[in-house]
Amino acid sequence: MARTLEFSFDGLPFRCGLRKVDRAALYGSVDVETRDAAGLRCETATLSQDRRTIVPSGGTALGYMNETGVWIERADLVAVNERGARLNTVASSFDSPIELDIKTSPDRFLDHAIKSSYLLDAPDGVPGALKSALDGGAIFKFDFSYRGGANADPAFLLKGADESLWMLVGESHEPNFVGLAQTAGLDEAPAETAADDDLSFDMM
Amino acid sequence: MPNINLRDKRNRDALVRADSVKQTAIVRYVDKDGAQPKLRHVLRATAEHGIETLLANAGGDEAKLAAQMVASDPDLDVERIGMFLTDTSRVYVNTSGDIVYQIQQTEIVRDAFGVEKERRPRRQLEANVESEIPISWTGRLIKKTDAIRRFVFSGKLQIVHVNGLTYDFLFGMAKELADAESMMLLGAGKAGKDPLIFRRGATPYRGFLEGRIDGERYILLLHLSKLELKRPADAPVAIVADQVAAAPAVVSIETPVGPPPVVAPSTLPAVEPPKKPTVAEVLVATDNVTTAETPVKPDIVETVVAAKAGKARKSAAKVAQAVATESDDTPAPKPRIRKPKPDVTAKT
Repeated sequence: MARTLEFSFDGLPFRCGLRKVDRAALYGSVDVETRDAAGLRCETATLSQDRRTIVPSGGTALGYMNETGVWIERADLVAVNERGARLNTVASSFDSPIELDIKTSPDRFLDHAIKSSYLLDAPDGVPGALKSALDGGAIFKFDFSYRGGANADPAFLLKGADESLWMLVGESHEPNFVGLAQTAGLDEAPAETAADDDLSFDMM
Repeated sequence: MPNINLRDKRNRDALVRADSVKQTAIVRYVDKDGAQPKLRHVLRATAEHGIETLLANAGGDEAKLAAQMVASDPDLDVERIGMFLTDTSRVYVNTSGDIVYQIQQTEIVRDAFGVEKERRPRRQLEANVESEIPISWTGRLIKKTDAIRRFVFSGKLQIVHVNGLTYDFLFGMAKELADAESMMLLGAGKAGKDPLIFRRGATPYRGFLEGRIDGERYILLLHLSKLELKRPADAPVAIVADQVAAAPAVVSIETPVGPPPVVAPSTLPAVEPPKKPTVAEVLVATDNVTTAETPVKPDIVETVVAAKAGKARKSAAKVAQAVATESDDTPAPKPRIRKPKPDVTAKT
């Protein structure tokens, strides 16, 4: 719990440490080890278009070039939306308190796919009214940006079934009601790839 | 987007489509003239000019290598460094720097503490959402409000009809789920309990089907999860209410005289199990003075309702266990053959 976020609920501030929780933290992880026929350890690399230059991991870079091939520094670029209007940058959410003043419904919450899950730890506690609201199933929505930048992500504060406090950072999805007239087509069927070894005699 | 072979509780199945409903914010980066630059991949370093190769060429003598770098710049390749990379390929190279054409891959399975548990040949799970065996309802209904607090839904697909017959098919599903305000756990495979795999070798997900209705229109959303919303074993606990902020005057008057309330420690121990709050703490925290009354003996109806709720919790726990055990990293337990209970209302 290295960094801390400051929240504010009904004028009462409180701080939370956060810890990112993923599958590795809960269930463990899997590493894939690759060896050649002689048993030597292998790593992935990039083979360039000349088919003789082997580029190790970290041997490539990304750069912005204009139409004349001139390198442009990232700091000289500005973010715009699809209409070309300049976007206001947002500050990192660690820089100022996050106001918890918007509740959202379960359906609206379910319209978001969760990208990151953070377990929150409020060592000094949370305001009592907030705890009551969370106990009652309330879900609070706010904007969150870890480092700041062109846009913030929708984030949610809620209580887990095991009484833990969570901040879930997501991305918005927009399902639409469909009626009989809005018929979609099936994707084309993939080519048959059945092979002889698909036949199994285990069942007999 | 993938097709999905879906079966309902009456064992009717149909091939329908699963659409992405992701809403992407379009952000472009332009230069000071408003022109959009191109993003290019550039070569930064090559293997033959890396420190390992150069040091090996110098016989492992760092001083010798340093002298060579001053004299002839063997670490620089002015012909190639900085060139644009366009048509590249991913290859495996061994520790000698040679491209390898035949590989053997082993999965090293580690637990949540990083301790190695198992080594096994790498396995590539086959896709199963468009196979001959339909994705089916498991019969396990979970209230939406409960599911939100138990699982992390990291992906969504909207299931849509492809003709009039499948409209009726999907509308019926959506209505049933909407009426129950619940999600149905879906399962793949013959036993109908396997996780959903959309492409060969892709991450398996547990699928939860949710329905919404608006007149004759419907939304059938497939929520995908590979993670439970629960704290890791080594994490501290607790939403602790701030005593000062939580305690209004009326509560403090009715709080029985006694020792001062327990104040939460400023830092919680890292591996201590959760501390169960006392009744007084809960009352203060929740502002709920009415619950301080002496509990009355529950009547038979309350007892039955409580028993059903306990059964529902056990069912939800089984689903959680399934999400926990199913993944790309641990082998799935052999599923027990159990006849699905398709009746939605019976489970609620």
